[in-house]
Amino acid sequence: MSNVLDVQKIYDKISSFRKILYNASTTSEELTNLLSSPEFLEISEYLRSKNISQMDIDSVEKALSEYKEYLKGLPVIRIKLANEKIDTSRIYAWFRQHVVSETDFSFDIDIDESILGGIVVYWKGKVVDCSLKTLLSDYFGKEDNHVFG
Amino acid sequence: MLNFPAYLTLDYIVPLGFVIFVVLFIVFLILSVVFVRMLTEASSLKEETARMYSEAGFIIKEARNQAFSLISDANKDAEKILEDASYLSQEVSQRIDSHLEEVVREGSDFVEESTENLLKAHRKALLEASKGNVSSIRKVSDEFRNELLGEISEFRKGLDAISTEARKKMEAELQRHRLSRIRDIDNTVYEIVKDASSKIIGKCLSLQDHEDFIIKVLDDAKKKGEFETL
Repeated sequence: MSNVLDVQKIYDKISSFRKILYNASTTSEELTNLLSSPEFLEISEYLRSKNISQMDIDSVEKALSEYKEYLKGLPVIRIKLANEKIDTSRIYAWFRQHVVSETDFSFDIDIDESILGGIVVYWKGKVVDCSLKTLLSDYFGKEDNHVFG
Repeated sequence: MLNFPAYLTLDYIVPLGFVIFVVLFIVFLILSVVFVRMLTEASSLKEETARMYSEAGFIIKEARNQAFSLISDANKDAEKILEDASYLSQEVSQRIDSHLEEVVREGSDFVEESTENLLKAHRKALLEASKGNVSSIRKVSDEFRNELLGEISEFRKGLDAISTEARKKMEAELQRHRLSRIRDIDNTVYEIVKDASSKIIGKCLSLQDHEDFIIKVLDDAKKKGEFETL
């Protein structure tokens, strides 16, 4: 897998895809269109990597279960962002390049507007707080940076 | 051996009278000299007493001046500190007033006590003077001077100690107050900057800018080695 951005979102997508998959009224063409859409990109990539045809519903179901198990086994980097619209693929690429290069990993993403901006990273019991809120707080907490010091 | 006649004649009376006159004259002269010397001594004693009296008065005046000068200096110091601390809180001002009152009270007590001691010593000196004992007067005068100098020295030390202690307390109060005010101001500024940042990032910064900022802070954190242990 190239990117596993938000494991919880992928779980949600798998659930949505399953509902569509077992809906009797869903046609094979609709299924093909769904897997081609960006919304189910991760699922289609996984099925393609396993050479599973979308027509084989049993195999697809089995692959989806395996995919969930695979996701559960991945190292998780929990991150906190201020805005849900931020493109996390750049952040994922950065972690891939600088922190976790040898294995796949997933993001567990929280959105918290109170951090104002930046990012807070939780991984292996450590916290790297690069939020704008903390940066401001640290700046004003230093003796040299007092406004009327 | 002299042969005196059986009765006095003019031949004897005249020389004898002359001799007696000479003797009496000499006695008179001696007595006069003694009297003059006594008068001189008495005059000298009076002058010495007057000088001692004047000196005692001068010392008392000087002591008072020094005491009030010390109190005045302490007050000036306190006023300067108060001036520096123009933004002190009411509570701190009250504490400083309390310190000042303590200093003034100590000074007043000293002056009162010193004046009493000086008067006692002066009275003693005058008593000795009235007895005509010049060396005793000098001794009392020296004791008096030493005692006075000692008291002034003690008072100065005491005042310095009080002044130093009060200054330290006030400076500590000032420092606490200053830090507290800086913290308040920083918190206010921090809130303003926080709100401004929130508004700027929410309304002015594009998502692209925000993502760039995230990558930048991650790079900075990596340079600081915060991801080395992950």
